[in-house]
Amino acid sequence: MNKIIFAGIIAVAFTGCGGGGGGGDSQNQSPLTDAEKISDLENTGVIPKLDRSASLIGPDVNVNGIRDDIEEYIDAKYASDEERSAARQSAKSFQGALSVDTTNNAEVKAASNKIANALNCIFTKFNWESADNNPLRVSAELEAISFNTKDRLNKYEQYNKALDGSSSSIPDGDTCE
Amino acid sequence: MNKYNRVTKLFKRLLFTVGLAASCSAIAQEQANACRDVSTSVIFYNGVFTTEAGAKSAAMAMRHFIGGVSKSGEGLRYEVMYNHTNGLEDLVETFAQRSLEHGEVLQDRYELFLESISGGGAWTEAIVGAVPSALSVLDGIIDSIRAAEVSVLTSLVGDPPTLANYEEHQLRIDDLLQEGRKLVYVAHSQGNLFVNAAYDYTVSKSSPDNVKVVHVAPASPTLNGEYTLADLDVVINGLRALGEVPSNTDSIPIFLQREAGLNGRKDTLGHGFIEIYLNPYLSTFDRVVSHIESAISTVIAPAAQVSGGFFTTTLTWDGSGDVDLHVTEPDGTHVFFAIKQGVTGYLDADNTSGYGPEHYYASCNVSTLQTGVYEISLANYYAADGRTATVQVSAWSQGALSTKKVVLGAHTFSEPAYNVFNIEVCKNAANNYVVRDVSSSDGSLCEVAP
Repeated sequence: MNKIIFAGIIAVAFTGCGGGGGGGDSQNQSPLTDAEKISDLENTGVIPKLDRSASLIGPDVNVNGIRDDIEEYIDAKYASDEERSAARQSAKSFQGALSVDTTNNAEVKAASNKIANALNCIFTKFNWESADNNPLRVSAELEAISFNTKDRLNKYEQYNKALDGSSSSIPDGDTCE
Repeated sequence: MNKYNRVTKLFKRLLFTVGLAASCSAIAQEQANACRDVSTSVIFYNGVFTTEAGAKSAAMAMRHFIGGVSKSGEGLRYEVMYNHTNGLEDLVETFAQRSLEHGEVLQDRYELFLESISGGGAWTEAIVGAVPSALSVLDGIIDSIRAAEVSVLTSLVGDPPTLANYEEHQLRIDDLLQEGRKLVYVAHSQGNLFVNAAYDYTVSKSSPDNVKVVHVAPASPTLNGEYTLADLDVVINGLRALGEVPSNTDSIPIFLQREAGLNGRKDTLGHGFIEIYLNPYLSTFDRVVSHIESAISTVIAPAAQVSGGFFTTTLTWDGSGDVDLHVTEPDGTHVFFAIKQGVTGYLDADNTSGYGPEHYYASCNVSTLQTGVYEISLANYYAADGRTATVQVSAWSQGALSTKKVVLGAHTFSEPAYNVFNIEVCKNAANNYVVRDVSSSDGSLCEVAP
């Protein structure tokens, strides 16, 4: 069943392409490899270009708690200072889950609380009417790019497992930093 | 309802929410109160393979659509009772192996993993559009996820969870009932198995009038309230083939004709809470929202036995005997059974015969709410040797902060022998009061930005 669904996706995607990207001498160019096609998607911002190093935390040259590639993604994608600030808070809070001691309940809860405050900030600063950048989409994308390697995903899984059976309230008011 | 009307309705909801938020903000500025009046807790029980952040996002989405105040003007609070699904590591490993197929085109692109859990999304579609050979890889991954979800749910239906395994949930329910809070439970997918256990427990402690349940994509044949189930929910249909699940309530468009949920994901599996059931462009949205609103308007408050507060501490134990809760406030005031009134808080429940509860609350009034560390301790006053005491600290702003158990030794009368928690109250950079558990920290955390 999924094959039928994805066949439809391909048809839609190709219809939307409209032959873009080709130059007048395209017949003389060798076709792009699959890797080059995906690289194109990254370079044009269709999909994120991310750090995939072995480090859980990844590069953070300015030591602000946000992975450098995610900071670049945020700066390029979101329009206003308010949105970028909220997205950075969220990215930083997700980074926190990668360094938490999952055997320390108070530490796990504190990390969870920071993520909740950051999500709440996103939910108040981003426009619900936006198709591309509404709060649910922004928060889901930031979560996905924060845990973009096997090690990062598995650490995040340990963090979530440590929260099994937990109870928490959704923050009220302004929780933006 | 057509798309235009739904969008108009969405806009009206937004205006309503913004208006309420503005009026609440104005009220807050006039009050010297660190808390907000709340009559009802709307509690979300998440579905299969949902991260805790994802569960909170879902609760925030409910808050957006339902609002922070009920139609009758009463305050609503949104909470999450999180249940984790084991087996995600196996799916990550499946992803790792499958991503090596077809020229390793998806190798190391784990940012697609969480999207795959939601049945695919914009990045997935872009890659498949550019590199069709990725199709079979992603198709296989999503098939594995669907099979895992059906397997998890089948296992849970066969061996339903009990609330005994989820003590923090149970104690939070105790707290909320004792504070006279109305309870509305909203459960999605595997959360329905947990909510049924929570419902049974709640009714055993109060009455069916005090709790309402809204089931969404119920994985369980047992229902304790109204439910919504989409006809193209592949996960529940997979479960249907193996056993009994309720009848479908809504027909949703096939994948290619379906509009994405607000998170940009369509969910090929037809099962997601945000992608399908709280998708404003599908009929399931109206049904789920109306069920929640109906539950909020019909649930009745239990009689309050204790007060809520900026933070509260509840002590229970597993038998007869007299266990005492002691709180030393930041200025040194010692609050216990002999001195129930502190500078900030009050011991408003004192049990001397068995089981508890004992309960302390710190006032929301900022004129008496002290900043600093509150030491929470216990004493086996008499005849509770060997009993297991359970202490839960909850904060107005965060819900349950932490839960701990202590096995009691010999009695020490009014001398507390067990330091259970150090709870710190301070102001953050925005001058709002915050609270946190600093029991395992070295000193104050207040100087650290929250």
